[in-house]
Amino acid sequence: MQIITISRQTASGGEEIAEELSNRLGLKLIDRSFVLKNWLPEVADDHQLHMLEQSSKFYTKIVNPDSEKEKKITFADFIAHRLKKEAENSNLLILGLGAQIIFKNHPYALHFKIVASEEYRIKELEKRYGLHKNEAARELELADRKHRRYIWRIHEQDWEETTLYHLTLNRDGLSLEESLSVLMNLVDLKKENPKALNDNDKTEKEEVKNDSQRSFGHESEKEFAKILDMHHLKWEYEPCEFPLEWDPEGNVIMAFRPDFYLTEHDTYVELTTMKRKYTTEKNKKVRLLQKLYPHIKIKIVYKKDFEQLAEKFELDRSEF
Amino acid sequence: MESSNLGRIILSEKEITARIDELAAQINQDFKNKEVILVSILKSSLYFMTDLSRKLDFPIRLDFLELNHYADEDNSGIIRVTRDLEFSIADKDVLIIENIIRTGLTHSYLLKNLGARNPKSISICTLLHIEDDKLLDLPIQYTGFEIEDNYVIGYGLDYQEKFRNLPYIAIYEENPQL
Repeated sequence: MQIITISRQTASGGEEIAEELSNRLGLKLIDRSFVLKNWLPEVADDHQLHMLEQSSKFYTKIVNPDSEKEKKITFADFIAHRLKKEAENSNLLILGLGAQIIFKNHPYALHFKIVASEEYRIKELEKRYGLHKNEAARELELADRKHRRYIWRIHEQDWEETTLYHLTLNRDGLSLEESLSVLMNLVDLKKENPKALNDNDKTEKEEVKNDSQRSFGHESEKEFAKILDMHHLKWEYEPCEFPLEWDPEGNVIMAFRPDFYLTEHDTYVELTTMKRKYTTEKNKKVRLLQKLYPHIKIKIVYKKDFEQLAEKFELDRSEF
Repeated sequence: MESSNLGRIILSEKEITARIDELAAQINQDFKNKEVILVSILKSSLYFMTDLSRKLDFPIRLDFLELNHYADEDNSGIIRVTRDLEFSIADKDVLIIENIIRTGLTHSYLLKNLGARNPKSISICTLLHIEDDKLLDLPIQYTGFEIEDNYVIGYGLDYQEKFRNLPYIAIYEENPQL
């Protein structure tokens, strides 16, 4: 089934594009208000619904705290599950909700982002809500931060990352009709040749599989991957990057990409082959990461630890 | 025996015995009136298993599990159970008896493997636990001693199959002459 996801900066006109595109293409429109009204009441009480309207953090709360550990899901998991279920039977246009990440590997999904200059967006807010320029600018800043936080909290992805989208459309100088025309053309083109966004000659299955042929940045990473495989641990290699510092314009100027993610243990691992005294910079980044993302578990495997592991692997094959 | 490699004693026989008494008292309280399968991970936990189990006062069944690593040509490989349990652990309380937990890698596999057999509960009792930050954080219910990250031998722990029968635990000195 066809899926279009639209992410948008506040007041960039993303909503009207989503609404019009869903009408013209006959897609069911799902946005946050739809989810809050139709899906979440199945699992959330009035207080929780209120909190879900207000706070992105609340989406990380457990829906079913009394269930067995492995059956527990967050509100964000619940939404992702319902979206995937809905996508099995309906053509969808999903506005927001991190759908560009939920359907990242879906071959029939197209991901658009609608942006506009601050000037354009401030004018929109002035026009629509009669806000003063300063109030509008503040509103935009808060809204952008909220969007970014939601995507980080739930999906650990940078909302600003342009490669999450097939197309980013700047509304400056593009009317609604022109914008729709561009998007619909791409939808038509891709109907002939559906392909997942990050499908660079690899399928989703291959991505999940631990691939011994994968190109690692360092030989020790390859060896470490073998040790993980040996212990039946599921891992991903460098699955995501954590922004650590931004310039005043919000551009990421320092980031950190841990080497491994152990999926069953929800733990990132950074391997270092430098002697411990030369690892100050890496330690600093890890400390910063832990400060900015306290819910992220990360371990550093130092040179000595790795050598012990490797040595043990050779010496005594029964106990690590 | 290459006694020249035998380093400083970090835990004496007396200290080990006293701590096992304390652990047994705690376990007796927690498993009161339950029937428990004690699973000893071979070979290193053999001595710990015998000393601890004799101080437990609830009904127990002893079982043993051995893990080993099979290497492939490219030096990759896989850890496998080479001696499996005699008893079914489905719907039973299981207490894993281990001598040392270092990284948590082996025990992560162990928990996954035994957990798939639907036991009522699984707990881990380890005599030694390396106090440095573990690679994997596993739930360990009973710990005898937190020790520093050194290569240790004795009381079941070996270096190339030697030193297991020492009654105490000592550091293995790789280059004693240095």
